[in-house]
Amino acid sequence: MAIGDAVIDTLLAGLLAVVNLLPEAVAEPFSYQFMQRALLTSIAVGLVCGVLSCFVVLKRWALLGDAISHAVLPGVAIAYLVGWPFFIGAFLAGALTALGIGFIERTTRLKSDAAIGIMFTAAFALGVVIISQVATSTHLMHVLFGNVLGVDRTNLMLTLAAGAVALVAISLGYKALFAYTFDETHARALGLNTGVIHYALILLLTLTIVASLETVGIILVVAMLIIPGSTAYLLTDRLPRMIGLAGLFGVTSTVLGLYLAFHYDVASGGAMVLVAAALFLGALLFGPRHGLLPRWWRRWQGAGVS
Amino acid sequence: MTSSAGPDTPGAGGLRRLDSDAAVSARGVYAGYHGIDAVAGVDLTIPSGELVALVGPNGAGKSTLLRLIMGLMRPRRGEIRLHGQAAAAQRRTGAVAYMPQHETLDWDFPASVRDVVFSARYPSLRRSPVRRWLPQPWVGHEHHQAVDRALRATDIAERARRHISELSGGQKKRVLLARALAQEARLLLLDEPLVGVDQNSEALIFQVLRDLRAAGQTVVLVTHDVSGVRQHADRVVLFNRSVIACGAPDELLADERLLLRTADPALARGLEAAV
Repeated sequence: MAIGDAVIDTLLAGLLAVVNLLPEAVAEPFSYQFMQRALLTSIAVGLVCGVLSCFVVLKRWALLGDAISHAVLPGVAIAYLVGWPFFIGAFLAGALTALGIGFIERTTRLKSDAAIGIMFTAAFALGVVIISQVATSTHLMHVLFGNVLGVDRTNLMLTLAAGAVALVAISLGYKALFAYTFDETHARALGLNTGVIHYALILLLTLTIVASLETVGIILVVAMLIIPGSTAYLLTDRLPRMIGLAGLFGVTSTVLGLYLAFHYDVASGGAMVLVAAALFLGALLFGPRHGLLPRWWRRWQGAGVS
Repeated sequence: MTSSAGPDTPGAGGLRRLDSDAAVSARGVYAGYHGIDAVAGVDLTIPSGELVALVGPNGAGKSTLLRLIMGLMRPRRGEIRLHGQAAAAQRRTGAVAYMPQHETLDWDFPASVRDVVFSARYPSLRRSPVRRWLPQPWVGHEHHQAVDRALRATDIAERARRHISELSGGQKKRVLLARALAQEARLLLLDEPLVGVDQNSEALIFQVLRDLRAAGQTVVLVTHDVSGVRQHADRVVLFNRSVIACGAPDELLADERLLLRTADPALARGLEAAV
């Protein structure tokens, strides 16, 4: 714990040094401690969600991500009941749901979209029922929509740790992940254990979702796991660049969103996702190669010449 | 043991034990999907260092046989050995390269030609305790040289930095072939490498396959291209759920009774035209 505290203090100090370079009007909110914690959490969440979103987009796991994020709700509720850290309950619930989806797919004739739909709505319903019994509606709102301004030191540390695990795992396993994501059959032919990679990736996804709960909330976390990667996918044709851009867009969305949430006193999760969506819209319209306007411009010019 | 190993099946005749020198040896293999056998009673021996064509009608179970040899699928009955070892063990050492049909892949995937070919170096990278974890540019010279050789052999080197969506059908085939080459495996299994390629690409692909054989590597390809097979292959395996016949192309493709037994009029016509 002492090391964790030291790491957090160092990161916060570094962050403050950067923030202080900004004009005073912009930097002013970050003189509050809770805003400093919120900023650090937002950066970590944006970075990890952005990086992971590339694999969610390329593996077509958008629905699966949505499912896991909803399915952590009963875990949060039960952890609250038993007095565990919500982190553990959420992680267990998410992982169990992912396994349950795989089980239904393998043992019945149902396809994955139906299996996912059944598991996550059932788990979410269980969560809603438990929470409606035990918690206040403000509490439920915070779990569902996030409350980044209320992040305490323990949660900050857990978020940083989860994010670090995810980033290290992705960078060390990059080559295996590339082979698995592009051509799963060939990856098996190369002697890779694709079952292990599959569940490791799902576990990372669950970890990231749980780490993002306080910041963006259960309902909207999947947006941060889809939009930054999609935006980056419209702008580049190389996976390393896509990962880098998606991380950048993730951080931009969470940090700008935090700022907007503070200034206009709106839900932080919603503000962050709106920024992410605005960035996507920008890439969709103006992306040099795949963007709509440049494409129309090229077609118009082509028509004009011929 | 239904149909193979008759008196008119040179190569497969008389062999019952598993041949440990052979690149592939299969005995009494039954396998399929959802309880229906796609291949039934396969006996097959492929000696090391040969260029072997697997020929048969659509739905004959040729791709299933490749998946079985690869160890991607387990036989319900029977046994398959590669160089005297179980397929999974051979696969882990990177001794078997596989080229899938290109339609199954997502060519919008954010990767360059070189990235795709490089992925085949993973089995040999894994043997190094440090390099397996490093990013692509830092893994060491010999791996990049192997990739360069494969790109040159398939004449795709000048497109190495292009995005994979910018390629024609024949070029996509060559990229997947380059990926199989870059693995430097003893045994290469190629699923329809000649479908949808133009004449130049086809000549180039056969050239690459002959070079592989000259280097002592074993190549098994599934194909419909009978005239190419007649010209270049050492051995033809006529296949329809099991091995119907196995032998030198000239002998086999001249035998009309065998052609009829492949039970595919279109293929039989193709075979006749080639003879």
